[in-house]
Amino acid sequence: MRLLLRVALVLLTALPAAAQQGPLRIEITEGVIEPLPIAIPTFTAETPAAEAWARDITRLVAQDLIGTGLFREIPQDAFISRPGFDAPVQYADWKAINAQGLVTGAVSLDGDRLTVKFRLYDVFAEQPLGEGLQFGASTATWRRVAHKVADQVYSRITGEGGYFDSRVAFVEETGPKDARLKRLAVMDYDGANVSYLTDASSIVLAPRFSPDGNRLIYTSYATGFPQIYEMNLQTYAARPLGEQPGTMTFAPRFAPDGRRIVFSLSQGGNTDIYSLDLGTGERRRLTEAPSIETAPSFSPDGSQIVFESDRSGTQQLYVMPVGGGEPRRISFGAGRYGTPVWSPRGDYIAFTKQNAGRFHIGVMRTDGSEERLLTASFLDEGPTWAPNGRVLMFTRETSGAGGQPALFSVDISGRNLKQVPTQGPASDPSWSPLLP
Amino acid sequence: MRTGYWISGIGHGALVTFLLFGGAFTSAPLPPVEFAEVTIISEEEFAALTRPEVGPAVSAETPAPSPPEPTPEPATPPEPETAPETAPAPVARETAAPDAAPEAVPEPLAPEAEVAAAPPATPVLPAPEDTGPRVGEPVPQEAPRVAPDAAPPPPPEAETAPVVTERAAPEPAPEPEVVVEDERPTAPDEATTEIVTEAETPAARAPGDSPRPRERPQRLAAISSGQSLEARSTPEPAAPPEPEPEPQPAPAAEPEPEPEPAPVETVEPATPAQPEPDALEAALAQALGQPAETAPQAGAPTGPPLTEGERDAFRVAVQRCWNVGSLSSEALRTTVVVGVRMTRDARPDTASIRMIGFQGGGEAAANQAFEAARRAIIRCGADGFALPPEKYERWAEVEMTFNPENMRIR
Repeated sequence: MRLLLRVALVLLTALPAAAQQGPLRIEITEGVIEPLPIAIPTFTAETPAAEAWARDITRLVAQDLIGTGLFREIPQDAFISRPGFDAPVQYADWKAINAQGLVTGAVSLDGDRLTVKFRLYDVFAEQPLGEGLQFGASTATWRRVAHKVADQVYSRITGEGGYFDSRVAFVEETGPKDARLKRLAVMDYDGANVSYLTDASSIVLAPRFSPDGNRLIYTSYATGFPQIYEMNLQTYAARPLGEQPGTMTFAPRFAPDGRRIVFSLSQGGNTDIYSLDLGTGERRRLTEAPSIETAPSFSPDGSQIVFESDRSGTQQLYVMPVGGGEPRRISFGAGRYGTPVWSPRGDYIAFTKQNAGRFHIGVMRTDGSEERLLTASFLDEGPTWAPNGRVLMFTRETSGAGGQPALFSVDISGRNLKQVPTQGPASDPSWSPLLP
Repeated sequence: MRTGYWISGIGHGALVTFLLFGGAFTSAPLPPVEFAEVTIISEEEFAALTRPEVGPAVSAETPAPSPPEPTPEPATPPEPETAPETAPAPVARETAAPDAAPEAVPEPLAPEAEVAAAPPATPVLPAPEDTGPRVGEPVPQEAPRVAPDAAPPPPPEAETAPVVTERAAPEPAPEPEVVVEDERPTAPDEATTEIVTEAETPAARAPGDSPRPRERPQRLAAISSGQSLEARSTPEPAAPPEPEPEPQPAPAAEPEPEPEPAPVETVEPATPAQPEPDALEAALAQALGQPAETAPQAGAPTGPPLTEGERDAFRVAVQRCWNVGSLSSEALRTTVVVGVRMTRDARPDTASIRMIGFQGGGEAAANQAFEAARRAIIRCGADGFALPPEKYERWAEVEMTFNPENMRIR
């Protein structure tokens, strides 16, 4: 018997191995998640006057990429060779320092016009990643050129759209907490180029970009009551929307087509969701319940609206057809859910969650599944999506009488949480679409 | 009909009777376990044990100490116990002898025949070191026996065999093998690898491998050259293949493989004297993919398969460089199958890396996933993967499935 058992064991052990036919097949199911080492040598200045521009643009491209947390810049001191833009790439030199990506570029200056061109290489594959590109712009918009280059590099390596050449509208706050002054401002996604849209004469809240990035809707207390306004970002002219005596309107959001908005209207102690056609001024009520329905957000295809409601007794998230109808509850976890925002990619809904005395920014599938909390603090709220649907920006406020709000961003993986630099306290961010 | 019943009844009755009284259900008694000795060992025995231990050190030196008291003590029972202990001591010394063998190692380096010439398994340890990459992995397990394997790695150098044989001759008994050289032509190239192993543990395993013979007629041929194996039953089947190469005239026609045969034969003479190891052990070793005695290289992917350990090591080596941190969420939902051709030094032929297929995402996402996979293969294969060179036929072509399911954002 022992002999038979041993023989059987031998056969059982040998059969699978002997069964190999054709090539050796293995399955890789575990990998590593770490920043991709990338080399970004200072772009070549093709004209002497372009040297400073080349240096600044290179730095900004690197900052954009490294800031995502997906890349790790290899120090220039480690470079073995300094590639010319049109010279053949010495891949061995870059492999030696473990650079997996290589960005080369050249900058020329003709009068006030900058021309920036770049190429991206996959070092270990020893081949370019996509074709070389060239951007032209005035020196005043050099940052946008750098962001464009970074967007291209990011997109080619990750397969996702970039978000560097975008802007963020927010509310800048000054003064003590009990007498805060607020004004609308717009800045680059990285906190640069801040410009103010309103003065501090009245409280403003919740700015929202239009899908084309040319308009902004927000809530203002200019009349003493919350009222929705629309501002043209070309002319900075603002006009009230959906004026109706005895009502308060707030929490506006553009439809994907930019021709309608949805918002909350409070009348007689009841708050419901309405839609407004910006062309005709036609207003339509989408919910009818004695509870509070607010913070509506369109799905990217414009067919559904997610909003928050306390109709069940606590604040929860619901989804309903764009024309109204029976809402479907999608949040069932402990705590309260609010300020839902549909991802521009349509795959997730971001939200604010309050539970056990803590606030969180989280994401869930549009059916409410796969809920994940990305942050936790004394007060996190008001998420907004980057144009590529990969990053969220939100408001984080510190506790205490001296607590100040600030803007933070986080990858939807929960990694790379960092503060967005602003000149002072800031809140209510709204991310624009990619600039043209 | 009734006749049938009668026959059936009688038959069944006989069977039942046999089963009941024939001892069919009686199991062979297990060998008694000797444990009494453990308890028996007390003071005297322990003392006896300790003395012998000391003895080894002095053993050669002094019988004098033993005479005084130990002699009386040696109650026969304790001695047997002590005996085993003493035995180990000598063994160690024997190993020391092999250590000297390492010196021979340098010789084997040049030719494989050398290895064979150094019949003692001792050279094994050094040999693997020298051969490093090729024999390295498989050898370690069979260290004691595999010693010859170390030599096999050089197979390509077989050509130099002639020169080597000269060296071997001076050392042990290669000269008689000069005759063997004549037979060399008979052994095919494959013999090289196996020869080494056989050289070390030839006679013992050859017979026990009865299940394997199918795959390796040639090996048998090689073995046949060393007639020492003839005495064994299993080698016979191998005989048929041998006739083909043996035809000495063939050597002229087939000069290529010849060099290797020489080492084989040299090994054989040495091996015959060796005792036979357990055939099952050999079978197990083969089942586990150890390159031990058998010579694979017959057809395309006919060599010994990779062991699970070797496959895992390969997989881990690749996944160590598979960085999905910069992949899009759609790419993280895409499984890609990547094909790659490997060079003999276990490096990926970068030009051969291709996407065979993908699943779960669009083409753009698949391309992103493929690029990450390609980077992983190239990066971690730059210095060569730890794959057994003697199994090259098994991993010359590789298909890797990169499944990011466990790496997705959750």
